[in-house]
Amino acid sequence: MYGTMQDSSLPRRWNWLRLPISLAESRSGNPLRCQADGALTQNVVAVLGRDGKHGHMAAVGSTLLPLSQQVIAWIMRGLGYDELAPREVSRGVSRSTLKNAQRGDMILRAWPDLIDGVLELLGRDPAEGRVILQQALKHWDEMISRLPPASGLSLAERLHAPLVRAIPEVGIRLGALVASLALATEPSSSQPSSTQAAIKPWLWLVEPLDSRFFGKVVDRLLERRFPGMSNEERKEFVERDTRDGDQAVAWRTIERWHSGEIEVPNTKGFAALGKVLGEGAEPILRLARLAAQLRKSLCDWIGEDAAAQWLRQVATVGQIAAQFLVAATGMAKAARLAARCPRWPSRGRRVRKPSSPTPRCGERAVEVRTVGALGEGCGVLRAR
Amino acid sequence: MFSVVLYAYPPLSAHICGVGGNPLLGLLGVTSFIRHVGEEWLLRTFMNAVISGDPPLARSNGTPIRISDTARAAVQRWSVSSLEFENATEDDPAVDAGVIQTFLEAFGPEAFVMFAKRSPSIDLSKVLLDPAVEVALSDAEVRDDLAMSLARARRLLDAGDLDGAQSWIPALDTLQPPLSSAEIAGLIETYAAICHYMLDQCRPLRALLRMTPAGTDLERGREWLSGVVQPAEKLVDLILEIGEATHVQLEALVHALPVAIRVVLLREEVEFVQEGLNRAAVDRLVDQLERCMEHHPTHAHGWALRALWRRLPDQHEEAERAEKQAIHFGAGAVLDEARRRIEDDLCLAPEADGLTQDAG
Repeated sequence: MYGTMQDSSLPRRWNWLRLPISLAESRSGNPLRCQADGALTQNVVAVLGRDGKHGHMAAVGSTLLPLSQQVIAWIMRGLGYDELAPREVSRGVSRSTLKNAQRGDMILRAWPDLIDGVLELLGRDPAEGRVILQQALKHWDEMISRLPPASGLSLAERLHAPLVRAIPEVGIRLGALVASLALATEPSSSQPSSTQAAIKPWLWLVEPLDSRFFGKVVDRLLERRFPGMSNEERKEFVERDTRDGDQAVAWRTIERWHSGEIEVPNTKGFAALGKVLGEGAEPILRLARLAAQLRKSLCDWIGEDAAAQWLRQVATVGQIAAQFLVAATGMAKAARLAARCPRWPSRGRRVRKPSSPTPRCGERAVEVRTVGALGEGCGVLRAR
Repeated sequence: MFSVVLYAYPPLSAHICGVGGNPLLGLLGVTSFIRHVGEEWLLRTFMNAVISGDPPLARSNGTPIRISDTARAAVQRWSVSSLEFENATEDDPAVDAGVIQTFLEAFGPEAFVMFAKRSPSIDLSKVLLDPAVEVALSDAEVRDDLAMSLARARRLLDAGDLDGAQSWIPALDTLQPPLSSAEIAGLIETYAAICHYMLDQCRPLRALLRMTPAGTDLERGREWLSGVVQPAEKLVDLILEIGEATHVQLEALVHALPVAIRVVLLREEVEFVQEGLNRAAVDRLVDQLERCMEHHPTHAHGWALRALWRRLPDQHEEAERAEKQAIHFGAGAVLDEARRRIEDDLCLAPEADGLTQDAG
């Protein structure tokens, strides 16, 4: 019924699409064999030839905004991972695959490994988060691929709309992070401080793309690890205290990070420095490096002036959000609402417990998590 | 978190709306990403064409559009200032006037008609609103906005309430052009959804007819099914006409084609031989789709449909290639759904195969 041309290589359920012989309708009404029909063959070849390649080596058009694999690969490399090593479940992703992913090449086979690798890197069980994450990423890809062609637009023009959307989305999340830290580190014994005073020590967090942000993060980590010490004393520890016998990082480098002289810190020595700075420090350093990379890329993409304007807007929204959220009643209200709302990824989320050293006397441990636009980082900050 | 915070704190939304003088900033959480980005790109492409004259602008009747130097200069200044993220409302009034002048010169009296018809209810946020927010709006608010009405109709249709859905679909002749891209997309999607619903309803009867021996019952069943084919074909035509008239041919094709394929298979099954959709017609539509995709080679749904239709004995490689592209660009689920629909129509689901084989 569905045609007389049979191909045993096709699965049975594809019978419905078998072409009746009369596909290439001849004027005489006689059926033509497709293989013998020159016009059809040429047409098929032309269709394949349009994209320049034949067979399995499929040519891939590029979307005007990045696909999820490109974003993930960019983030991984921004975090300082040139490849993803095999772990418990994931089979790892090679350096070349990560590069291909960032270029937007087709990585259909490696794509699941990339997702699993990312989940494991975030400390999650791939079996639990895989489906939700894959669905979300494919939804993004599908959306991006459907965007109207606008090849005449410059990168800055194409990025303007998504960046405008990102102002409240990033700003509010940063504000919530500041509010959480401000509330969690507020001295419990003293009188409640003013909103401004409570958030002031953490306000630098709403400017993660500031050129000195990485240096500030390192400063905070040093304060946490070596409380009450002078820089000279810290320098000694940083330059000597390594378990592998190598110097983690030269103090001069830390000073350059602090001054904002270095655009994107080199990841060499991150692991050693992470060990010096204590449990949970390395992911925080990597996140801060990602922020530095984003700052550099943003300047390349939209220009320094526009990037600076965007950063100011994000910071303004972040400050406003932090001020609103820091009020205890407001925070409780948001927490109640948040508890009622489904979160992503909601159920079954396994959180790796930080096995940080016990807080010192007079300190409270604060688990710091950033989820969403910033990816996830986990660490423990201490406050007196 | 973002939505919770915004909804829990209306004053916060108000403050954020004030940041950078961008009144839309606080509302972006409820706008559709694709609409927001698509509309902005469209506007920028138009403005760039005004500035450079490439491609030359012409009205639908072919008359070339001439933009005055004053208007062009204003658009040039707009194109620079519009890329800033601060002081969005502090544009030079002369630039604003120049941009309006450009619209009037480009669209002629139609620009006045457009403003007259849509004002004062013209609201950019409505154009950008995500159809998903329809659930939270009142009946009156939904009725007031065509895109939202159509989104509600589709939701009701998904729930199997055809009568309820129909009450939200306005008659075409009552619509006042020009329609926004959201409204056009809504119309196309809704008509396609109705077709799919109608074809879904035919499945039990089709399954029954496959087991019915030749006779009066079989003929009566075929007649009934033939009665579904014609309205479905009309809707397919309508979708294609809307696409052509509004220059969204590709979107129209990706919605019309899955229906057309299902209709062709139904026609073949009931041996409904009267003039209408057939494989040759679908082939022509697929060719048209391929031509449209030359300008939009990343269109995931387009690749999915090419993969679906090109599953031919001699085009296996191309089908495979199209399938890979569809998955790469995120339309793997779309392809699976289209296949599942057809397999369900023909009772060819793998499980069903297995059961039949076991039973045999």
